[in-house]
Amino acid sequence: MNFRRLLVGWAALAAIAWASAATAAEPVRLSFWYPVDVGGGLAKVIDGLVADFNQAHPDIQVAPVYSGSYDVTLQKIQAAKLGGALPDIAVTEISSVPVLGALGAAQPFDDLIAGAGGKNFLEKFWPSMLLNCRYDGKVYGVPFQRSTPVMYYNKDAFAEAGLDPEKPPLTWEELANAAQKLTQREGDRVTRWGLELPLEAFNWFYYALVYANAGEVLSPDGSKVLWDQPKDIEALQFWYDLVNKYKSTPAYTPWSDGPQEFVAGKAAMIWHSTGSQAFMRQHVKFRWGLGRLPKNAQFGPPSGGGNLMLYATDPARRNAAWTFIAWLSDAPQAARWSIASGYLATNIASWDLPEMQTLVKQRPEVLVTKAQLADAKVEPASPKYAPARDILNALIKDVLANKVPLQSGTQQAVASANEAMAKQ
Amino acid sequence: MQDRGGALGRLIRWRASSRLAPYLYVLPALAALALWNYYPLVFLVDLSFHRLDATSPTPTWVGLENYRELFTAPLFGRVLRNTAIYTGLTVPLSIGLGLALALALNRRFPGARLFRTLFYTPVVLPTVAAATVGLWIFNSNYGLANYLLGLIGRPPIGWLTDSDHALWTIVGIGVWKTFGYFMLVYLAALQALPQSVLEAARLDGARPWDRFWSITWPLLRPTTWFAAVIALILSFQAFDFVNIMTQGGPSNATNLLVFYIYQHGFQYFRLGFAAAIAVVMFGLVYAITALVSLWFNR
Amino acid sequence: MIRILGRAVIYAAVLALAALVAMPMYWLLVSAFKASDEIFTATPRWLPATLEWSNFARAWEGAAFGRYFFNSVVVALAILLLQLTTASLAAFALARRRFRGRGIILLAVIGALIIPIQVTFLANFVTLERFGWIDSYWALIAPFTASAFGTFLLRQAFLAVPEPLEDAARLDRCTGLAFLWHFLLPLSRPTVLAFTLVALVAHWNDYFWPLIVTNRDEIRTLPIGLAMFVTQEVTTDWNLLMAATLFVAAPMLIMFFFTQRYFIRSHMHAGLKR
Repeated sequence: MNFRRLLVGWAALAAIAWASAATAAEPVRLSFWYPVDVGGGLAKVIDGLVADFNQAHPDIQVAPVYSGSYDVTLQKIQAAKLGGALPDIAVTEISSVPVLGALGAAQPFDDLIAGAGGKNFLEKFWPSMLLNCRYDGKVYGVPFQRSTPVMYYNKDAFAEAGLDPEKPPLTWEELANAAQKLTQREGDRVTRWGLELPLEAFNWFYYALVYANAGEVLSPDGSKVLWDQPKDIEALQFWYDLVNKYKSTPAYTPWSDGPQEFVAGKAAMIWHSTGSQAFMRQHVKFRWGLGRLPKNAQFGPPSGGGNLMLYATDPARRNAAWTFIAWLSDAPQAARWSIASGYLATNIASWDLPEMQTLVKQRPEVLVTKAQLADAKVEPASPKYAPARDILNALIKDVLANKVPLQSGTQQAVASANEAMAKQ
Repeated sequence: MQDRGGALGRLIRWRASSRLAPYLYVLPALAALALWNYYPLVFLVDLSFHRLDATSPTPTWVGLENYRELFTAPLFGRVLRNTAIYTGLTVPLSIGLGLALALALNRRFPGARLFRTLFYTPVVLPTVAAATVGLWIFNSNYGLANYLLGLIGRPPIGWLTDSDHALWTIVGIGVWKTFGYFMLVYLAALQALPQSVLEAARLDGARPWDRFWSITWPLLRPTTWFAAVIALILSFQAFDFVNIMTQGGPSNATNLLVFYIYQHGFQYFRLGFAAAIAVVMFGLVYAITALVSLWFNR
Repeated sequence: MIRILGRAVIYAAVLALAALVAMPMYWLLVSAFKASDEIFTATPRWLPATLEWSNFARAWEGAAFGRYFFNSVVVALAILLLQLTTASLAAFALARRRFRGRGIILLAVIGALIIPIQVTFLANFVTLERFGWIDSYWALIAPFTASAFGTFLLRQAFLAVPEPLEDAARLDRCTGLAFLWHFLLPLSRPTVLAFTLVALVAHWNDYFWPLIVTNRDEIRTLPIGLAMFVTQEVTTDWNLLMAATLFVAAPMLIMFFFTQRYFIRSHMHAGLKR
């Protein structure tokens, strides 16, 4: 071993690194970031879709990039905005629309829509899905992988408890009754919960309950939260009662435990994403069904999932990106994506396509999801909502666990949230 | 010694003998540290005097506003308290446990190597993996932890979901992840101790406990100083655990400074404010390290 | 008699602790072999019903692990080489040479030890962007060119080499860098190995930094592949995640098992004062 050999080794390493870096500097393409949960299947579907697009459009080559979870994708985009390496198109969670719009990372594209038929283009999508696509009066997103919460229920358990397996509860009263009947105990320990409402960072089921009660969560200008309004308080009170009065629901179920608990028979009814259907289908061994989220005043499941958003600013890339967006959200692709992923087909026409008709015949429960699509409500979003979301999450956890009284706790949370949002 | 041939060799030898040499030797490391470690600190301090967030995407000077907001934020006190508990517990516990094991395993017996590897394994495991395994073991319904509790007749605990317990759980994981490293550090130090002094004490009839406190422990002081500084640095790993397992919750029970920065910088995208928090955190860490070093080197 | 009892108690305590530490590892190992529906059973299953080797295949296919493996190796080795070089040079000067400003430079090196990534990542991201290095191997390697920890460890190790040795070497016309190469480094082999292990593990397991600075699969590293199994909307494929974790952690574990002797030896000098 002498210096010369060391230098040669160094040179070799440098050469390898340089060569790799050089091959990395490939010609300009459209980059498409997507946060789909992978685990084998779905990444391949995206790859397949993109490959088909690339083949049909030789002048535009799209490179799909898995960008992490919704949160991580948002962070990467924000960081990229600072550093300047934004993707051209990305699928981002719907509540990020105002955030990215205000930041100037995402670009509005009303002009491109006008060129594609204006209102006629927009009318291809379920109106409820378009609620989370705008910011500041402009269109920033096209619905792509959307979901609503839905109720999974154990038909066998229903039959056992003397309930009609074909008639899932449709009102809060029916829900509470069913939940109580379905809860099983062994002495003090609960062996099966009647109903589980998992809680995750987005507070989906709080919104579900408030909307079902015809309440509102966020003021129209996005600056104040409305959790202390009577209808919102009633909604949280109902959840509280399910846990502490009817004792049919645990105080806290982590989001990802939900499907597992249902499959294991530890929960007879559970609210979860339409996206979990595939999991249920694969693992459930008893008769099960899908039901709409019960109403108190109206049917109003909150919206969820991601939109296609445009980030490119260069006119040529922008037009190319738009071509991709328009293609991907078109009926055949929407149908294909929906069938593979369990996300809802946001394009109305896709439901009439033969492949979707076949799906409906094979799985009639899918019609429940279609009904929810029609009724879906907006997911609360504003550029400054993020800290309020966390405050609400803490409030729900504390109220359900009896650590904080409902009324005064909510007042305090509202005050903190409004203050936090004002600071942004 | 073979004479180094070639022009390169001569150049190198000339360099080596010049007065400039030492400066040239430290230059690469120093330049890299300056660019990638110190400059960011300056950048950060500068950023902390600005406002940079979703609604004001270009930095605007706001002076001490971020600091004012930070020190009057009700959550900040909570976060400081959580961090103090976390660091105040994990540092002594992981070092202490490491020392205890080093003392216990500092002899040749069958399986010693296996034990040492076993105790070191958590250190080598990626924190992401440790966090996800932890998520699962401490799951209130399915987790191993509650199952074991059930076996001894105790009711299940919300390890990560109960705001009274979550912080202790994270502390436990933090200690589990790092004590193996200190065990090795102390094993090395113990093996380097002058055996003659210890032998003399043993022959004098001193009891093991006394031998430890009056001889071993003082001799280990430099090692303990080193371990304390490293433990402080390792306590930042808590971020990975909090980010994956609790997201600062439940109800901010596990919101540590490292997470608080991330929350405001990345989730709320208020970079100027997050920078202020980071500067305060760095100031605290630096002060503690200086204090600890002073105490150990007095 | 008391001695033996005392020793037995200690041994029992160590065993109990070993069980506690081993349990999550065992769980990890066993779950990697379980079928999907064995994961969430009412009572934990200590042994899988059958050994599902297919989990490993499925996990491997779940993300581009072959590519990630290659990248992790390239990046970790490159960083290691760079750090060893800059650290040995700097440690050599700091330990074996007197020069003005030595104390301050040493403090500067130690000071950098405690600057965490939360402080540095944003500026480094912006710096890399200015160089145009985002989404390339450089982004993964450049910020780690120097290691304060390595410089410190090597300095301590070099300090322990006696002065007379250098004098003798000088008589043989082995000075400066030659002395470093032929004497200091070989004599500090345990430290070099220990530092190698620590640095490799740290960068092998790094998730956060590669995630921010890379987008393309072609240059991503193993931990990112792991994270792909933790899903948001539905639920996690725990058995696949555990299987993937195993093949990410295995190389480091194996390496440690065979080099722990050096590791211990190297830290003998860690606490020495000047």
